[in-house]
Amino acid sequence: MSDEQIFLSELSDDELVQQMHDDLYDGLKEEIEEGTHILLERGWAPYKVLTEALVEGMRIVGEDFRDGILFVPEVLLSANAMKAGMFILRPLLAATGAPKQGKMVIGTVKGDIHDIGKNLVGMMMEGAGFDVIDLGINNAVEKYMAALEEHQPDIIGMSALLTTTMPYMKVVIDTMKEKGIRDDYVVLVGGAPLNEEFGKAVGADAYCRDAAVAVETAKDFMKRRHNTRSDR
Amino acid sequence: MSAIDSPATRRRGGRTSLMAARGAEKTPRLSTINYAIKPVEAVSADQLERIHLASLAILREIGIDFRDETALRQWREVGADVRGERVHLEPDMIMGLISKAPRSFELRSRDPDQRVTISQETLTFGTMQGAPNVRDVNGVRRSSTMEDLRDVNRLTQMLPGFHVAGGFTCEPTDIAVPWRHLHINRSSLVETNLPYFGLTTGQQRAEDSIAMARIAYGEEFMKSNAVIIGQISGNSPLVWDATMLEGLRVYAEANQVVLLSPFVLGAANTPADVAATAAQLNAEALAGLAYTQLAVPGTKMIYGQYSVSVSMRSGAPMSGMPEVSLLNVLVGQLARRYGIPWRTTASQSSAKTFDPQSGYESAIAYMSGATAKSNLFLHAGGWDEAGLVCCLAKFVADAEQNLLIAKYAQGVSFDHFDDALEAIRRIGPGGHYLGDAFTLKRFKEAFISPELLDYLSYEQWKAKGSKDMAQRCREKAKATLESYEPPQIDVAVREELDAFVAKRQNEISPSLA
Ligand code: B12
Repeated sequence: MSDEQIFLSELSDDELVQQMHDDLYDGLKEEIEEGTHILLERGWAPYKVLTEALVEGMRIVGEDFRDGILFVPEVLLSANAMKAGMFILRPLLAATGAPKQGKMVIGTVKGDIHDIGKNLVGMMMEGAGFDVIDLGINNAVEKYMAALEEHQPDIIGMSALLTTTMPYMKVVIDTMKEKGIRDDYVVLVGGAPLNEEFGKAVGADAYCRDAAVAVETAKDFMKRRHNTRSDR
Repeated sequence: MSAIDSPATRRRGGRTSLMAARGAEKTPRLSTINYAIKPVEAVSADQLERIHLASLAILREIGIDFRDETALRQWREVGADVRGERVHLEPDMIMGLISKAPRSFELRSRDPDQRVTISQETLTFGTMQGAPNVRDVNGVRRSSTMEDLRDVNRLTQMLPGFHVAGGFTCEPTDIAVPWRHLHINRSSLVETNLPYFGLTTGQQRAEDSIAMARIAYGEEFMKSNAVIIGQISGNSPLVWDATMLEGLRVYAEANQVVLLSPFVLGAANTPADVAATAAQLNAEALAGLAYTQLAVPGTKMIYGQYSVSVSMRSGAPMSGMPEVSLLNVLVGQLARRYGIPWRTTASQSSAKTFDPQSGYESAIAYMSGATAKSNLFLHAGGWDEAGLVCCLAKFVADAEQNLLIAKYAQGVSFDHFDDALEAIRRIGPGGHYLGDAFTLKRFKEAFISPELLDYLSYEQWKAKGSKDMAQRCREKAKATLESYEPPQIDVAVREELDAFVAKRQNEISPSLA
């Protein structure tokens, strides 16, 4: 930590981006907003600001969270700062037709009210630049279907912490199959009692053991999606 | 020596008869354990009062959500300030309702001689609950099945260290979800004869649980005797939800026991502060306990709580932590203030194998509960991996620990004090007591001798196969299962239970869709 006052506007582009990575790391919302504005004023494309300043900064945060250096409350601060930057960029991104990071619908399945893990995943995903629509707890298949229709996400995420609610994931996936829409979405599942095998058995694309893996997996799938579906 | 007894009375039959006696010596199942130790206290009376008043202020000013129409109606009827789902409660109303709770009650078993009293002066042990996985007698971790649950119940029945069977100790994941509760209840009733935990998640499962208990115990008997406990978890912060409240009413209306457990994941769903966490937890407990007495006055209830702290590195629950021990002590102090028996989580660990971490965390949890004078030690059997696995090796180790903790709780006896002082006179300086008559008379009861903990020399231990604790415990679990003797149950009762399960399976679709 340094005492000297830093004026973001006096930094070169490279220095500013570096500084924004630090500010994201420290969870400084106003500084991220200011940095985002400055880069835009200097003529940076919104998509370049997003990927080079914000997403790259959050990648570092994600890594250090995974490695046990950063703690949950700190990561939430970072994610909040990221969100503030995203808030500025979102309309511009849409207007310029820039490729999207991705959109996710997430909720706990019917009968399950455990939401701490789901919330953590949602916040980390937002932190990584994803649009996250949180359906909350106790979601019946109809609610997932309505959300898919309304929000047209790339990813659907289901969380369950009970062996009695886990099988409901299959109900949702089977319904997607029946409607012929299963392959339009990436299905991620998670929750402490689940495992890889279960994920496969219910027909999900991936099981993620924690929030950091969820982000990495989601990014991975989005890359593949961009390759196959240039319309998104 | 003047009067040597005549040979006829002195002779005891030598090796044959001693061997027979030792062989038949089975540690009897624990009966009611009466505490004789004084509880430790973490805070002064003034500080305790601050926490109590903070809880009341939370309930009056912030309020608490009851996400259940029936409960909201009942609160409105007695004049509580209900705004939407939020109920604001006045201290007098809360304390008035709570005063209707019995301070002591009995749990009955199918064995008429096995009665357990639950009160602030007693200690009761129950097994763990809710594991989706089992680590079996071969040390293999896998999804648990119905046969695993039956084995766990068989161990519970055979090992002397349990008063209460956990019911859903591990999940029978090979049975369709909508049918599971039927088979879980059946196993509790058939494989054990102990009081047990039924299922509470929703009206139907709770009603089926009570119906099956009535088949085994008789409806009349259950009108005045408790045999089954319903575990009602709060959704912290400050929410009691419909699923759980439906279950609560079913148990209370059947005159059975409810255990209300606010759920502390310290710093995740409570403030990052021990005293304030206690205030929130206590507010949740008071609201739940008061509601129980509003729903069915006189209901037998236990002040519950499940407390862990949360790893700020991942959000994962952590047991055995000093903050959790302090919370235990605080809850003990608060529950005594209200005169309601309270529960602790006895033997919890986050370890992935039955290793030193598992031992340390569990030992701390046990001792903090015992020194805080907790009345129901739940999860005192099998809990590893933060509740995601029931380890059978740990299960038998915990069962033995329960005997040790019970001994500790019963405190220091003065029944033989004078005789023992005589022994000091007899032996005097420099001698030893190993051959003394008093030692011979008292050694078995005076100092407990565990079987699974190892006290051999290195060479002896090596000669016996160099087995670590986990291996010894797996072998013990295996041997116990091999020697399992089912409890007595009438054929007619058993058939009626089976018929009930069959009938309900006909009525309930096995599909979740
Ligand atoms: C906290 C908790 C509760 C709280 C929940 C509060 C809340 N608002 O969430 C309360 C008290 C309400 C509760 C209630 C119950 N619980 Co509970 N609970 C737990 C506990 C202790 C911790 C869960 C948790 O928050 N972990 C921390 C988070 C950060 O981890 P996580 O959820 O696993 O999430 C991470 C990953 O799994 C993954 N992930 C999670 N979701 C998703 C989704 C996607 C899409 C992806 C990609 C990844 C992902 O990423 C997350 C972040 O890294 C667990 C024990 C355990 N070890 O898990 C029991 C546990 C899950 N509960 C259990 C039980 C039995 C219950 C009750 C039935 C108890 C009862 N009779 O009252 C009720 C049921 C309520 C209901 N209808 O759902 C059992 C389940 C057993 C089983 N066989 O299924 C457990 C295992 C404990 C036990 N042994 O008894 N519980």
